[in-house]
Amino acid sequence: MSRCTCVALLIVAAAHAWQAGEEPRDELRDKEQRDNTKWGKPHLTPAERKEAERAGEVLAPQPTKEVVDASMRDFPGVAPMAAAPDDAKNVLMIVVDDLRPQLHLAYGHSFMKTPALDEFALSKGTVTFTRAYAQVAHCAPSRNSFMTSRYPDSLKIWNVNADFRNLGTRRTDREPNAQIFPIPHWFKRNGYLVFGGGKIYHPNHPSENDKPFSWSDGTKLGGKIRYFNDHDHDCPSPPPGPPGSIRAWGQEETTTPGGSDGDTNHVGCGGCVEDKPDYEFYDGRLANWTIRTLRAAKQDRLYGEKRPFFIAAGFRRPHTPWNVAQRFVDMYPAATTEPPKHPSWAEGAPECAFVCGGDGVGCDFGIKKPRQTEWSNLCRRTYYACVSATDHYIGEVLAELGRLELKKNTVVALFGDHGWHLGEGGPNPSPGPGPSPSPSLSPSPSPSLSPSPSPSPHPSPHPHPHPSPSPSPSPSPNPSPNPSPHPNQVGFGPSTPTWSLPHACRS
Amino acid sequence: MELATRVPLMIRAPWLTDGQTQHLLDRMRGEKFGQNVSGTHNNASATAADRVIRSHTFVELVDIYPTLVRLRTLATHP
Repeated sequence: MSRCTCVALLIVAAAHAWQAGEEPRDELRDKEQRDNTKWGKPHLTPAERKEAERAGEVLAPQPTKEVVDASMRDFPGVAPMAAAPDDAKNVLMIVVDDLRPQLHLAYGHSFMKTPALDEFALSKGTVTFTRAYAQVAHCAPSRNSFMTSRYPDSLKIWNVNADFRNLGTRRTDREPNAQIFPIPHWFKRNGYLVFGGGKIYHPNHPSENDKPFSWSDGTKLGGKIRYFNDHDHDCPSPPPGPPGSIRAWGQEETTTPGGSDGDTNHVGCGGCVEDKPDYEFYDGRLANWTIRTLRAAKQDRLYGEKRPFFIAAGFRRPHTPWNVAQRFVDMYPAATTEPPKHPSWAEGAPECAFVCGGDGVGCDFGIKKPRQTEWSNLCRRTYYACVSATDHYIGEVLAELGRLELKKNTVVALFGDHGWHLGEGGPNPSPGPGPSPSPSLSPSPSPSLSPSPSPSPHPSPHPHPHPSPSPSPSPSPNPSPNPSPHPNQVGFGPSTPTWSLPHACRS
Repeated sequence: MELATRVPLMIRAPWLTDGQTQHLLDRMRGEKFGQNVSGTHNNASATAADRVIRSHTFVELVDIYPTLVRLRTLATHP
């Protein structure tokens, strides 16, 4: 039989299959359905398990512990896997590491340069929440919490070594708990194509960023889409400087080679400012990955893919090390980085209330050594530059969403994982009925049911070419939203602080 | 507390009208918080900052999960 005849027969067979309404084979989808079927039955009975083992099937990890959590009351428990509704919307979830509510238009800090997030805040259907709070001020516990909608008290996760698949233990030799459904896992079970990249969970907690529970394998036409899990760029060694000076990257000359806390990632308040293209920065590469994934999802939809997508992108900056491009630092002249209003630590606060942590920069604000205004200003300036850099990369992603005409059918959620100190110790305990809100971050003098704060007398939708100094709202004349503060609340304590030392301080 | 735990949070659902946005905000906590929202996208005479719709409702990051789930079904179950 000639080659022409073979081709003709194939064409005829394909035409018959098309006329009969058969769908083309989709190996990725088939595999995912098999996976979902497998993961969707976390509770195999012993008989089922034995039968599956006899058949030579690779079994899904079985749950080792039941979790009953009131915070999941809105969910029907372990629902069966379902197809997404016909009119289901896409979801783009953007998590930014260590981002303070310190943006230009959205949060009223006019000296910040955040044009992309300004445009996002102004776009139709966007709501900015001025009083949003993380459950805990630590990356991994916070991420475990919001990704599962469970309080840290419920998960018992308070450090970076545990995750919800292992329920507060450091053991890795046990099977992961498959009874908890984090956000992407839930969307995947409900018929979504789900992709993720960057710091969504704490890196590799859960193991492999919760592959295969949370993420789909790929798109029909785009092929396999791997979780973006590049190594975050560590700053190289800073250039030398005269003894006792602040070196080019803000590292103290007289301290240990790794930095003032001995952490090898610590390069100090100046970060490591480099002149190199965007795609060489972690967040630049993540933005590119997100754009490629959006395009792959769009391409599939053009060729008949019915499933909506859920894409999560976790940007690393402004988390340390502050590896950022020079042009973003240049946006903030040194004169604009005025020192924090309350640079001193609250009087009477126990030393153990402040933990340097591994990031190092925090130690430069520590209570163990005098605060240096020069360092403080340098820290704030570099942090602001990182915020502007992240704003730029997020802007690229949001712009692509518009170019692909996906904007009108996509929910976009953007948030930080917890707050960040930039040298503010908080006011000392003052004689008053209650605490006062943060002097530099509070959106309005009175965070009660007040109308929108006016952050700037003449706000502009565009970044200010000559930024004004940091706004310094007047202290709140009204009681704070929390009428009964915890007596040990550092920096915002009652008139007579009664510091009862936590357990860690007693040893 | 404010410095350590307060975070930015912005959610966009472009197909929602201002009224539906209000409805969503009300539903988020299962209560009425109508007076706790300011700003409108449609007020052309307002300054840029005033055109940002802000909710001063107290929310936690654990609210994001159920909100995303509800947002995707809001069109079918208003």
